[in-house]
Amino acid sequence: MSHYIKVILVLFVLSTTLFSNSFQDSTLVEGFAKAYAITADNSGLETAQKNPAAITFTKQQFSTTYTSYFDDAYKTVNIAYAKSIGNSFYLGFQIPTRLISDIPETIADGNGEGFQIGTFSDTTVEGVLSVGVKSKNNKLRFGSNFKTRYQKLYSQTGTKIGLDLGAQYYSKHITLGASLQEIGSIMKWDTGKNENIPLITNLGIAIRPNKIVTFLADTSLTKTTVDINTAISWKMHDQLTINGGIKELLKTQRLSVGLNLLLGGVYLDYAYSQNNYLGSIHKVGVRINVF
Amino acid sequence: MSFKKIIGGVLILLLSCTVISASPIKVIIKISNQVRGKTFSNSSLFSNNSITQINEFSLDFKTNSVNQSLVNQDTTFLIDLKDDTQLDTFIEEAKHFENVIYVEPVYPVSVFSGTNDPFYNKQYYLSKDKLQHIVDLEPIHEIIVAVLDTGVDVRHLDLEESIYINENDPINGIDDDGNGLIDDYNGANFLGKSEGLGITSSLDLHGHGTHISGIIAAQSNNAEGITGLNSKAKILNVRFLNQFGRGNQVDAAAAIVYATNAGAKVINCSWGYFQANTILEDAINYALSKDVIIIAAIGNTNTNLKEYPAAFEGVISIGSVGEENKRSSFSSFGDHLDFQLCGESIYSPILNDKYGYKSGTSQSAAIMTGMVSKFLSINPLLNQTIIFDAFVVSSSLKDQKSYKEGYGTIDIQKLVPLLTGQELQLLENEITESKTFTLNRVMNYPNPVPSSGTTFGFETDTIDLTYTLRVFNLLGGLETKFQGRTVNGYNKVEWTPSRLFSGTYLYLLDVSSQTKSKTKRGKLSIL
Repeated sequence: MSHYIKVILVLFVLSTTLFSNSFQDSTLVEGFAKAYAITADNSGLETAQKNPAAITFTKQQFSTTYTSYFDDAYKTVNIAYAKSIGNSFYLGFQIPTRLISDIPETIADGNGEGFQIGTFSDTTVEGVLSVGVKSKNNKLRFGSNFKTRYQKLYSQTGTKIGLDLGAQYYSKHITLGASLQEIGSIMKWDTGKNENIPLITNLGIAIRPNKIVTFLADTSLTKTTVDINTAISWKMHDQLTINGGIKELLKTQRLSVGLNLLLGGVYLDYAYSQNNYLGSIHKVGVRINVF
Repeated sequence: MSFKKIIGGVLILLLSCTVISASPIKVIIKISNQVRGKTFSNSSLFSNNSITQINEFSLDFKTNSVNQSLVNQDTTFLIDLKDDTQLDTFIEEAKHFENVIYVEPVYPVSVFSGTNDPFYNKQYYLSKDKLQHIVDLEPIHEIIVAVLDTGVDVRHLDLEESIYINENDPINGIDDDGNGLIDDYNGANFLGKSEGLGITSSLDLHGHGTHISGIIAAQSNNAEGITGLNSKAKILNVRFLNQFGRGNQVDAAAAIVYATNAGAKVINCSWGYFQANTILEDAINYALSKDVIIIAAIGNTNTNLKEYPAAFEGVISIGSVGEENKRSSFSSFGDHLDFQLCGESIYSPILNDKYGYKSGTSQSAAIMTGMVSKFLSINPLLNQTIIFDAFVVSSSLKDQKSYKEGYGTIDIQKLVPLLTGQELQLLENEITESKTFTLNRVMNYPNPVPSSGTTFGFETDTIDLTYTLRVFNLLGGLETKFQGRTVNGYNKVEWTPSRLFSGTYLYLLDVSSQTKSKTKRGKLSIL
């Protein structure tokens, strides 16, 4: 086993704590613009958050993202790094973080009416270790995410470990993807409360009729919910790609758009969406492919 | 060159043209008579190829009267052409003849009224826009309001008392008052006047004119039907549109002159066309010079297409809004739009003692006409400038006229004192609706939310407002919603979240009246 893997595994063991709720696409930029319909996508590190098999499409990449949600109601950031090891093996590490501050702390006053006595925050940090392998003919790809989460909400802390598994079948014009997220995930709070995080099954397809356009669709299933996400990616130019999609066709129908701009070897990513009630979401990201 | 030779030259041109034409097939030519006192002999006009008929026409249809501003020493001819005449070429060539003032095809007009809608409450616009207060204003003077339209069902039970009666010309087959019209006792007909069709009846065969008249002047407190905005107004019924709601602008021009000379103070024009005959503009200017207020519907094309007479300078152009005070989907717009009034699902008399709903800028214009006529019946000294300026000052966009909304909608509470000197006494629910309300101390408590639940509290100073409280997850998905009506003071909504994960959520409280809305948002955390 290589030295790097040993180090990562040690860190993984030492740093794990437990978290609750999926980040979904809250820290992604390109994946967000693609309406999270990325189970069969091959854009690499971001896609690995939903289907860890997608880590096998990176060589060596560093990325960071920043998001402002709903007119600055809260923020997310993500730092990620992935590298291929040899021809078939891939490693990635991400730290998605969500920061919610200025939450009013309130009580009832003597008249039974609300009274604010201070503020608190809700901070969630997750560590995601992604491992992937691909077959010699590059068609079959497998991956897994080992996730640990830590959340500090008011004065309580919660921790979670979880596992994602994913697979993709890749060909020139079509990719099929499948993944299971939150296998065995339980959010454990220091108050004694435990929350079972539902298992999520994702099935997706990506169709590439040519080098310019990709159609994406996937469905996410839990015991009680079903949803469908669809997206289009259009490579207008070698240096410019436009993405857009609709998340949760059966529920919120969130429309999102974005672009990837390649300048001097650096990808600048931007995504945008609007919620009719809560306001706008703006996301920016930087990706550097290091060779 | 003599006048006769000039006319002859023009007519030779007319005779020599043999081209294909599309409709219309009527042309109006105005020629300046350079020599005073010369009369024109048209005996040479009757043999030609393209021309089928020539009629000398005057807006001042009384043979013995003089209307210097319009007739002067000019002569107007209405000419019928064969169907295959190339109209553009004909007109272009005719224009080049000396002394020809203008040559135009005779443009049509049609009513601006849309479809019936049986789903709205009857006359909702009276309460929505506080127009009930206009109805309640006590008129002092009788005002003649001319409705130039498809005619009026003068026997309608809710209108028969509102029709202007020309006592000087009873129905006896004789033009007793010498105004050029026979038996214009309870209405005048100009339909087909320019074509010499000999139609005399001014009865409405379409329904549009009756509907418009009802909005303006249907009787109040007669245990019948609806109430018009000014039930003391006298409707001068002037018909120039046929049973299909169509007519032409030459007849319209004659109708306007007639109405002006008959003493109308307001003329309602709920019709139009995207091109204008000069003769129509001449008639409009004549009426305006006599201080007649002309109110016209802007049109129902949902475009900025200018239609006339609404687009003429000096005409008050009216568009339509719906119950939410948003521009109606059919209402035209543009820089010629002045004000917007209700025009959707307006309930009013139709033919044969019935009532019905119609929608259109026609109806909006009629509401404006009713209002203006009521103000004039209280103070006849008001002129168009004073009235227009008062409406502007009372409008929602008085400082920033909009391309899509004009000066916007009218605040009756501001308008009535300006034009009557009377302060408006609002009803209690109107007071509630009109004033700005406060929304304070919006929060949930306790927060963080324990397993026993939380209470959303907020304070307002107004009762009976609608509140909607929505709780969202961090991805923007709606988790739960509450709705209710406010009390004056501190309001509470209790909530025990179930099946939600620990974490932070966002909530949005929206409190609204019919005209105003306030929104506050917050964060809550479930432990």
